[in-house]
Amino acid sequence: MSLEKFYYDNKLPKLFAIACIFWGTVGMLLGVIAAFQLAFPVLNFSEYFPYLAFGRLRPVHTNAVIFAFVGNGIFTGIYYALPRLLKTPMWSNTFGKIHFWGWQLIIVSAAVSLLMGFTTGKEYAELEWPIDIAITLIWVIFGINMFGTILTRRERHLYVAIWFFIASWVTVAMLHIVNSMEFPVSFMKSYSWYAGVQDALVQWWYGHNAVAFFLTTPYLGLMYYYLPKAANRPVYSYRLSIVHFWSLIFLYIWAGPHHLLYTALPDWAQSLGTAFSIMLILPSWGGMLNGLFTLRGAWDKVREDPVLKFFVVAVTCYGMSTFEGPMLALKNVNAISHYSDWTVAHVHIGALGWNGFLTFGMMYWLIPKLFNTTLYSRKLASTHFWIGTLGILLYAIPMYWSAFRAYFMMKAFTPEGQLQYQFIDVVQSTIPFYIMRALGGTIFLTGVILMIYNLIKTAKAGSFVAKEEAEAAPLLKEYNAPTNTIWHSFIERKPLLLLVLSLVVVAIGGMVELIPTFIVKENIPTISSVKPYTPLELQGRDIYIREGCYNCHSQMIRPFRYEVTRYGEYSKAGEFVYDHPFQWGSKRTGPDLARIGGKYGDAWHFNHMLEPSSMSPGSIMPSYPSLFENDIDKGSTNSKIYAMRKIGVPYADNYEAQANKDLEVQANKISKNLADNKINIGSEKEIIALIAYLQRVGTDIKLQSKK
Amino acid sequence: MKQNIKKIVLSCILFSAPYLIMAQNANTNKNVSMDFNWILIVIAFILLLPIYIMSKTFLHALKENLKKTKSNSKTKASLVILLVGLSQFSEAKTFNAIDMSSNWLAWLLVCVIIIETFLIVFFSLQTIKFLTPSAEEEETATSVTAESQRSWFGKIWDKMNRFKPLSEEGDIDTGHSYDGIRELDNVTPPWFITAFAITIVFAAVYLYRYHVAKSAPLQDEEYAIEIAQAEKDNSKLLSTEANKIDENTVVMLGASDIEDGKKIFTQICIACHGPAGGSKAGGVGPNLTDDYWIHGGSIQNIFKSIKYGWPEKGMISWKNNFSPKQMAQLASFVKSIHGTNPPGAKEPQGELYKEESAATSAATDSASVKK
Repeated sequence: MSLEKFYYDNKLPKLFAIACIFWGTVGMLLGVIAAFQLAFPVLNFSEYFPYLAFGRLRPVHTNAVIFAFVGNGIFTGIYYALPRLLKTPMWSNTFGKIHFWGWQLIIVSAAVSLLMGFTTGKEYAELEWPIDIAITLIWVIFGINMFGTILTRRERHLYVAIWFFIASWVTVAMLHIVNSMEFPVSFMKSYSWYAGVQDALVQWWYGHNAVAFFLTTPYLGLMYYYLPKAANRPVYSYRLSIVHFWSLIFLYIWAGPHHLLYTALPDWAQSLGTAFSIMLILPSWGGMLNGLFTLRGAWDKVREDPVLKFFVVAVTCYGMSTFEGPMLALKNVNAISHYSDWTVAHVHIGALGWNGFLTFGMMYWLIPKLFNTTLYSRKLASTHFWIGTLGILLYAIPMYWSAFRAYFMMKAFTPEGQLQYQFIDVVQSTIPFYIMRALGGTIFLTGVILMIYNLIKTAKAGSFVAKEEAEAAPLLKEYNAPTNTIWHSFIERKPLLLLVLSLVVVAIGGMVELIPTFIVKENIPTISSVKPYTPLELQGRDIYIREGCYNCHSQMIRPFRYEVTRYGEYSKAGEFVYDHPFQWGSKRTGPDLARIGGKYGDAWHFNHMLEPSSMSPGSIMPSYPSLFENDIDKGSTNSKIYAMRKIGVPYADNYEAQANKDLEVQANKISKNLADNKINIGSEKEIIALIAYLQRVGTDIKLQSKK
Repeated sequence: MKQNIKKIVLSCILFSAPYLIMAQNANTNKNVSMDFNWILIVIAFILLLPIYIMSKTFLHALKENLKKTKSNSKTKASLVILLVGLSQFSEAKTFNAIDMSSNWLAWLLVCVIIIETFLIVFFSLQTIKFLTPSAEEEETATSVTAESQRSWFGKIWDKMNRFKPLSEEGDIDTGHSYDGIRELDNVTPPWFITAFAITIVFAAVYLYRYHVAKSAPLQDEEYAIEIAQAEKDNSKLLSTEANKIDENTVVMLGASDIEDGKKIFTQICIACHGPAGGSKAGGVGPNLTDDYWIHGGSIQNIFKSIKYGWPEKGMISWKNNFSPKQMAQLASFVKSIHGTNPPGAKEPQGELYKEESAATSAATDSASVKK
C-alpha cells in the first residue's frame, strides 16, 4: 500500500496560541481590577464615566476568561492535535482562518459592547443577539472544519480526545442556541424569550453546562493528548475512558438546577439537580484518574519537567473542583455557599487551576515544538509553577474563609430574635478578604507574565516550523474489524454516529427538566396580582440590566428565617412571569433586592445612586452619576412594549399609543415627590425610571395580601 | 465494559436494600432540623468507603498471610466475624439514626463517625501488621522484587486500583497508537465502581425520600419548621420584662440607655437623619431636633415609628433589627436631642408638637396625629 505525503499546518495553532495568551492576560488583568474594585470603590472611576463600573467590568472578565482565554486555548489544542491524531491536515485552511479571525472579532465586539452596556443580563451569555448569531456561524464553521478533517482521516479509529471534542462541539451548539433565544427590540437590544423561573432554568442549564462542555470536556480532550505526549507514557485505561466519557456527558447536563437550590424553581427540578450532581463525582474523577495513572512510572519525570508539574496540579484541581461541586449541590451545603464567595472560590479553583494550569503546561510543551527548539528556561517555568500555585491558594483560602464568616454573620440572631448584624457589617468585614483575594490574583497574573517572557525567548531562539511533513497510508473502503474488540470500537469508527449519540445522550437530561417546567402549569402557580411592568418601570429595568446590577444583587429570597427577616417574604415562582430576562443573580456582594420596592423612599434611592455611602455608610457600591445626566430613551418604549407583547406579556393591543404618556405621568409623579423633599431633577432623567423600577420590585404580592 | 456495567448495577442493588428500608421508616421524621445532622450523615457515609476498601485490603492481606503461614482457620474466622460485625454495626447505626430526634441524632452520628474512624485506624494497623514481614520471614525472603518493596500504603493503593505491575504492561496494550500515544486497557479501579454505585444509590434514595416517600421536608416545609422553632425559642425571652416594652408601655429611659441609643443612632440612623439628627436640606429624613413632627413627637409615637416604620414615606421598619429594649433606647436618644438645633438642619415638617406632662402626653399625641 502506498504512503501519502501531506503537511500539518502550524500557523493556525500558533495564532490561536498567541490569542489565547493575549486574551488570557487581558481577562485576568480585568479580574484583578474587578477584585480591587470591591475593596476600593474609587477604582470604578464612575465619577468620570460609567464604562468601568464593576457591573459592566465583571461580565467582560468572565467572558474574556471563558470564551477568549479558554476558547482560544481549546482551538490551539485542537488545531494542533486533531490533524496529528487523524493523520491528515485540517480540512480547510480558509475555514480555519475565518474561524480564527471571526472568533477574535467576536471577542473584541463582546468586550466593547459589554463595556458600553449592551447586555442581555444573563450570566455568561451576556452578549447581544447580533454577536450571538456571529458566534453560531463561527461555531458552525469550526464544526465543519473539524468534521471535514475527521471524515478525511487516515486513522480508522477515533482517539478518546476526539470523542470529547465532538461531544463538546455539539453540546455547546445546543446550549448556545437554546439559551440565546431572544426577541430583538433593536440593534443590540433584545429580551430573552423565556421569563422568570423558566428563564432561570434554561440559563443555568446553559451556565452549568458551559462549565461542563466549554471548560471541562474540551480540556479533558486536550489532557488526553498533551499529557501522555509530555510524559511519553501510554494512556492508563481505555475502558475507563469509555465509562467516564459516556457517563460524564450523560450526567453533566442534568445538574444545572443545583445553581437554583432553595429558589422558586419547582422542588422536583431542584432534587434532580442534586441527585445527578452526586452521581457526577465518579465520572468526573474518571478523567482525573486516567490522567494521573497515565503518569505511573513517570513520577520521576514530574519532579523535573515543569510541563508535567502543571499537568499534575491541573488534573488535581480538576479532581478537587469536581468533588467540591457535587458537595455544593447538597442542599444544606448550598444554603451556605449560594450567593457567597464560596462559589467564587470554587470556580477559580477550576479556572485558575484546571484551565489555567493545563493551558500553561500545554503552551510550555507546544511552543518549543512549533519553533523546533527547547524551552528557553525550565527554571523560569518552575518559578511560574510555584507562583501560580501560591496565587491560587491566596485566592481561594480568603474566599472560603469569608464565605463561612459571612454565612454565620448573616444568620446570627440575637436571643430576642433580631438580626445580629446589618448587611453592611458583613460587607465591611469582608473587605480585607477581598484585598487578599485581589493580591492572590495579582500573583497568579505575575506568573503568566513570566510565562510570556519565557515563551517569547523560546520563540526567538528557534525558527518557526510553518509546515510539518508527514506520511501515512489512506484508509481503505473495506475494513474487517478484528473480532476480539469490544462493541465500542464500532462507534469509534463512525464519527457521525458518535456525534448523533452524543447529542441524544446530552439532550435527554435537558428535555426531562425543561419541557415539564414549560408546559405543566402547576410548576409556576399563578399570582393574580402580578401585573406587567409599566413603561417607565420597564425602562428602569433595562437600566438595571444595562448597569449589570445582577452581578452583585440577587432578586431571590430563599425560604430561610434569616433571609425572610432581613429582606422580606421569600420569593414565589409566580412573581417572575413577566421578567424577561430573570434577574435572580448568583452572588450577593450587595443585599438582595427582591423586596426593595417600597422599603425606602424615592429620595433615599436618589441620594443612594448618586453617592451610595451617603445613605449606607461603608457601602462599596459604585456611584452612578451618569443616570442623573442621561435622558430616558423614550423612542424605544414602543418597540419594547411590542417585543414584550410578542413574547407573551399581556399589554393591551395598541398600548403603544398610550405607553409614553403613561411613562411621563408616572415620571412626573416621582419627580414631584422628590421635589417635596427639596430635590430638583427633571422627570426625563434615567434615575427616575430606575427609581420607578426599584419601587416596583417585589410589591405585587403585597397587593394581594392587602386584599 | 459489560463487566463494568454489570458490576455497577450489582453493587447498586446491594447497596440500596438497606437504604430503602431506612427511607420507608423515616416517615415520622419531619420535625428534625437536618442541617448539621446531614453533614454528619454525609461524613459517615463517606467514611464507609475507606472502611470498605480497608477491610477488603485487610482481608486480602489476611488471606495472603494465612496462605503463607499455613493458616489456623480459627483466627481467620474470628477476625472475619469481628470485621463483618463491626461494619454491620456501623451501618446499622447510620440507618437507624435517621429515625431519631435531632439531638439524639447528632450524638449518635458523632458516635458512628468515631467508630468509623476507629475502624479505619484498626484496619490500617492490622494491614500494616500483616503486610510487614516478621523478622524470620525477612530472612527467608532474600530475593525481593522491586514491586514488593513498596510501602504498605503503596501496596494498599495498588490493590485498591488493581494496578498491574509496570513490567506486565505489554499484556494489556490495546495495540492502538494515535500519533504515538499508546493505550493500555487497565481495569477500571474497583473502588471507582463501588463508589459510583454508592452515588447512584444515594441519588435514587434522595429522590425517593423527597418525592415518593415524602419523608424529608421540602423547602417550604423546612421553612415552616424553622419559623415554628424560632417562635418557640423566642417566646420565652420576649416574655422577660425588658422585652415586653411596646409602643404603649415605653417610657423615657435614663442616661446610660440614652448613650446606648446614641451608638445605634450614629451607626444606622445618620444616613437619613444626619449625624446630629437634624438631617439637611434635601436630606431624606426629617429633622428630629425641632418642634415639628410628622408622626408625633411623644416617646410612644417615636417608638412606634421606629418599630413599624412609615414605608410609603421612606422610614423602614426596624423591628427585625432591634430588640424592643434597643428601640426604646433609640427613642429615648431621639427625645434627648430635642432642641439641640444643629447647624444646617432641615426645615420643619409636620405638626407642631408641644411636650406635655408625661401623664397626659399619650392622649394628646393621638389627638395631634388625628388633626
